[in-house]
Amino acid sequence: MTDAEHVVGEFVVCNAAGLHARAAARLAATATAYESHIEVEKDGRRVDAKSIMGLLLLCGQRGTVLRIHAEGHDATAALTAVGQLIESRFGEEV
Amino acid sequence: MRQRPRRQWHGVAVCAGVGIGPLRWVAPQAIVPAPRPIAAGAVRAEVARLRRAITDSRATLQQARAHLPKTQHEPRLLLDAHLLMHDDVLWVQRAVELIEKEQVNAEWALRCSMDIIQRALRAAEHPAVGDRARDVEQVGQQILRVLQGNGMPRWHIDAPCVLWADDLSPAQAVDLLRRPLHALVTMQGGSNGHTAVLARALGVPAVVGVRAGIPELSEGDPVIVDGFAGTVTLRPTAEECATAAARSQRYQSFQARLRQPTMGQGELPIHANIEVPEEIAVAQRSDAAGIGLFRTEFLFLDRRHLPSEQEQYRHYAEVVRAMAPRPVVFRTFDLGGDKLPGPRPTTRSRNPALGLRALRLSLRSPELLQPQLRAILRSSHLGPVQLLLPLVSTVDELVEARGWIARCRTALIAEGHALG
Repeated sequence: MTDAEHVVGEFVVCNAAGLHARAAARLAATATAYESHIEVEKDGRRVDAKSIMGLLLLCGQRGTVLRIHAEGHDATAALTAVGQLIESRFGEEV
Repeated sequence: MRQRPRRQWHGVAVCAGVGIGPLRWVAPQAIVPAPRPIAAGAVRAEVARLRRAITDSRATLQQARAHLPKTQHEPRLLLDAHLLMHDDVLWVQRAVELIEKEQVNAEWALRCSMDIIQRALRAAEHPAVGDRARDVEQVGQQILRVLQGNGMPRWHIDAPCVLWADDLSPAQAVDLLRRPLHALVTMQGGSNGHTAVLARALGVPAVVGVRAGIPELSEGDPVIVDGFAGTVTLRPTAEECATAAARSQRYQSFQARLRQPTMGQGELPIHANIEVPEEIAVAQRSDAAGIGLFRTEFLFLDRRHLPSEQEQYRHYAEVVRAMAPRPVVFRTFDLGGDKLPGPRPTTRSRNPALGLRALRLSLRSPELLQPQLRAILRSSHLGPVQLLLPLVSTVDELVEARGWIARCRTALIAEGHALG
């Protein structure tokens, strides 16, 4: 595909509870809304952003830097959405 | 038989109130599968059996989700997480491979797959990770139960009791919503964990993280659960019972009084103040007549980027929709003073409480005010919405603010938005 994009962005987990089940569910659901292939990387380890179990296995805590890779025709939009979700503390209060 | 002694434990109080009743202990019903070799010809059927169990288990959870009131946001999200885990290839695929390669039964394959994930989670050695390993255990156990021909474990609770469980899964919590409970105690859990989220959703006095020895928990003995102090007293003294009963009464009548009409001028509507949308559940549970004050600045604080109009709209719409037809009063952001959003540089003044803050700051920062006004106005098609401007000190400020509101309104209508 000619219009396929590959974008990368880094975001810091800033909610108190980290990347726990509810947060991971929100992230996976957000990623699934896009057709692009999205991966989340932490310390060199990459998992599919659409897999809740993979996200849980990253053991993300507050302060963890997540590198998001998105590839596909809606990659930029996907990256923005995922980034916003992480930075809005997954909608959590603290 | 000798009378057993009084015992008291301390845990984490997660839901206010005092509950007294007979103890009902539900032992954890973990399934510990054994490996069983299967014939090469039976491999396909075994894989199909695992997949069917996952589908059935998923359907049970989905049903539980349908019973959950819309306002129960956090428990709903937990259920969503458990539903997603059912479909996750990461462990399902591994279990399937184990059945195929090792020619073992589905239960054993699933257990091995759960263990691999849990080991990896526990290797992180962070307290919060324990919660994640427990989620994996809860989902896995539910599928294991289906594999063994048992569905969701129902705790048979016919008479009101103090329920004491090891842990609480989202599916079990939904089931408990409809059962008579005086109070809830769990062995697992901390103040912010999943158990606490679910215990709070039940709305009964609850204490979590109470590590008691199981042999001490004799069924039917009286228990007092103090959801303020976080104490659980088994076989209390007569005096303790009397005090607890009085406190329980007082708290209940206090809650009931909140809903009662006043003498004389008929009903006095009581509204709830909120800071984040998640608080609507509590407001609804206490029959709030509306949201008297939504302090919106909390959406702006403690973050790197300011919330976009769309993000604000999402939060506001959620609140308005949940409260409709009851009104929601939005107070535009009261920032400045002691509350400053992350990225905005502002000068420090001697007395920040009187300085550039609230409406004064808003009017000087239309790039902040405009998206918020637009988001609030847009949410008005979902229910009654009112605006409160913080700290108006001159008529000019009011006139200027109204100008902004009118301009946003006109622009939104021109863009084709439906406004209330």
